[in-house]
Amino acid sequence: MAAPLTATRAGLQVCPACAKVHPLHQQGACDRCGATLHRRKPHSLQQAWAWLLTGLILYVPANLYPIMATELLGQRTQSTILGGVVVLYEHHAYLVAGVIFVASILIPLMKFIIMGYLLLSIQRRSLHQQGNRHRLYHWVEFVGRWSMIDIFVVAILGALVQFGHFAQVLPGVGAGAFAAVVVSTMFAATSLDPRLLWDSSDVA
Amino acid sequence: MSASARTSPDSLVATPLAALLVCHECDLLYRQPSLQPGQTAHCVRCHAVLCRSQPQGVQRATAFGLAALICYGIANAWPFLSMGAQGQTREISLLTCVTELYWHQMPGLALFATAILLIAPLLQILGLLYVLIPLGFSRRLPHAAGVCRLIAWLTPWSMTEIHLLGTVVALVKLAAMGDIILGVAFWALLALVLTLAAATATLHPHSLWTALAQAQPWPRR
Repeated sequence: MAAPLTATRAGLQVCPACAKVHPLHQQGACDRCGATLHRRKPHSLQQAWAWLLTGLILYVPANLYPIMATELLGQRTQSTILGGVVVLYEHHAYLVAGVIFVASILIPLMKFIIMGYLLLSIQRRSLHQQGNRHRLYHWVEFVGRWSMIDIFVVAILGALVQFGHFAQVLPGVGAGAFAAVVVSTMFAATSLDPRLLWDSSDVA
Repeated sequence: MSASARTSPDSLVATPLAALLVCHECDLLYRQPSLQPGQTAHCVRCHAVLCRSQPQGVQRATAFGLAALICYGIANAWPFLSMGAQGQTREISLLTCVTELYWHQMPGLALFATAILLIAPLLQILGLLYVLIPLGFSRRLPHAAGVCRLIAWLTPWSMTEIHLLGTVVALVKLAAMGDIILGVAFWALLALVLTLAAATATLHPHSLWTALAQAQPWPRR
């Protein structure tokens, strides 16, 4: 099969912001919108790996430290992300337990695995299942921000449940670490240039 | 539709640059398709949206943007939630959600939550209106292109819809603890999420940049 005609093979590049077509040799700023021109995002793989590893490291304190503490009649209970899901499950709030489990546990884990797989496949110049890998990339990019839901839950509970000795909710250190995990993985996804997934077929 | 946009490589090389279109996700080269109103062109290789024909897109997006601004104002000015337990009532606004994080010794998280809940959506709306209102008169204000780039960068960090879902989860958690009243700001936030999504969806970046390139700079130098 002949290699498909890409902008690169035609000696062209597009502005990363406004998508205006420029000759490949043109450097500097786009003459339409002023963004810096580049054929692919510079250092895309290195940056994506760096953010992914940062997220992976922060994932440890995010799960070990409590994301919030509840004080009921002077009794203090601290809960981690997983602990919160278990409590909801035990109270038969299955739907909410499911939402938090997916957003806070499943999605971050899937992101680490999928991003790692995509980065390795690009480095090995894989030609395998490019369309499906692109779909995976889209999924990671789209779904990543929804992990932030637990942070908002903690913020709302911490603001609303302030009844002194009767009941109080306090945000925990784990919440900060978890927010940092989500930010890191979001940056990992945006640093990855999806065109790299297709570049291996252009030289074939 | 999309298949016809691709022509033979030889004819593409001779085409002037302005008449070309490149898939921003997989780099495949196309000739600008001529679309019927409401049609969308997809990349044949990766299925990304190349461009859309959106008649009145600028006007519609302006309308949604103005509606979003009103919703934003209401969402911040009125009470968000109130809860009654043990004879006490606690009422919070959207702003309280982030300021309480600050008072609980989490200044970094409070700052970040302010950015994604309050600042990013406001900048997104104001930026859209700064670009779109003059564009309705085929004019563009200074730095309109820079503002468009900023909005595109900002969009994933504007997380009002996630806050809304978080609120629902929090309410289910609290249902057994006390009586909860949804404030005006809760409904305004719901309307903000919908109008902001509509404002963003109704104008594809390709349509926006094309309209911007055709607009006259204003004020004239």
